[in-house]
Amino acid sequence: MCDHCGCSTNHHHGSDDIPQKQRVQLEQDVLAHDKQHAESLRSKLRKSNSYMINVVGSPGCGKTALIAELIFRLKEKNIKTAVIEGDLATDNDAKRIAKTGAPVYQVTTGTACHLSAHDVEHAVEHLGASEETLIIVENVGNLVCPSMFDIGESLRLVCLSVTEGTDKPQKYPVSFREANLAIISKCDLLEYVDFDISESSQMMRQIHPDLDILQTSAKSGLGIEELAERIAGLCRKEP
Amino acid sequence: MHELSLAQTICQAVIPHQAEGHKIVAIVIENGPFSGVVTESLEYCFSIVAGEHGLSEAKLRVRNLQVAATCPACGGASEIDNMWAECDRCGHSPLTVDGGREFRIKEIEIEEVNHV
Repeated sequence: MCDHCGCSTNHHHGSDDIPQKQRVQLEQDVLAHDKQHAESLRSKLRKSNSYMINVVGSPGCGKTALIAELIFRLKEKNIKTAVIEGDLATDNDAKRIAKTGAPVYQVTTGTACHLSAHDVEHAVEHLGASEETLIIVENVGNLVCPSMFDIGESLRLVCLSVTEGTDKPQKYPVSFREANLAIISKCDLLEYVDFDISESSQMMRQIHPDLDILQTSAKSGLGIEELAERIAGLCRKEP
Repeated sequence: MHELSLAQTICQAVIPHQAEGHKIVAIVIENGPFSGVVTESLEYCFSIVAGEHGLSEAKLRVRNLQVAATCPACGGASEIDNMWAECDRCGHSPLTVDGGREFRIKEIEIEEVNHV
């Protein structure tokens, strides 16, 4: 029986016609859902006088070492710090951070190349970080993907090590455009590599004219106190 | 390869708009020059995941947008599609832009499924 008009023949209705295409306007931001999670987390943190920093950069650029050094300096300034580590696999970084005594929660993303606001919301719950905490999120090591995902942070720090090469800002512009603060790390190795700080900084400023750039070395301590001081200032200013 | 998760998100977002007895035949995406999304990667990832969502017949059409830029040196206006663009009038770079991070599903095209 025809399921269209109920007649007994097996004829088709409209099958010989050209199918009618219908356009449906959606105007929908693909990341709308992520952005909602990020906004809600940011406002939740603000209410509890907490502050979140999102640290992005290539694998091996020195994010974990930088964070570990920062924790010590921030402790001296009476800033309570907790850390969320993002990696595809292993809790190696969480173990390194745990040695500092700061609470740490490891997110293993499996195949995902970045942390989402939703991942971070859960991680914050696991951490049980209460009032007045600085939460430092070490994103998955990647200079590309994390750049377009707001995770609810109030400050984004991009880390570029001198061993990676001067022209990285040109090759991965979005990460530098979306960051509030750039760190040139591993500066203790400058004499061994052909990294040109002024040229690289110029490239960053071409993408992001008022970007703050700081030179650091977790090994020698260069710039760490200055960075800790700035972060402490931001934490005290919030909300 | 964040385009993989974005392709998944796009599929999940359009499915509720597929009325019964209809199929989605095209999804139109608008992609700003500073969104961080690589069109070719997105198309490739979509072709991998579309089937899982019953969208194997849907075509993904990505429109790469331009963004209006102003020259901080001469005040000239340009339409640009990358961060290194120079002012049309005086050659200055970088230019000041507002926007360019757009990444949205503009529209979908749906078609009635033929009865057999």
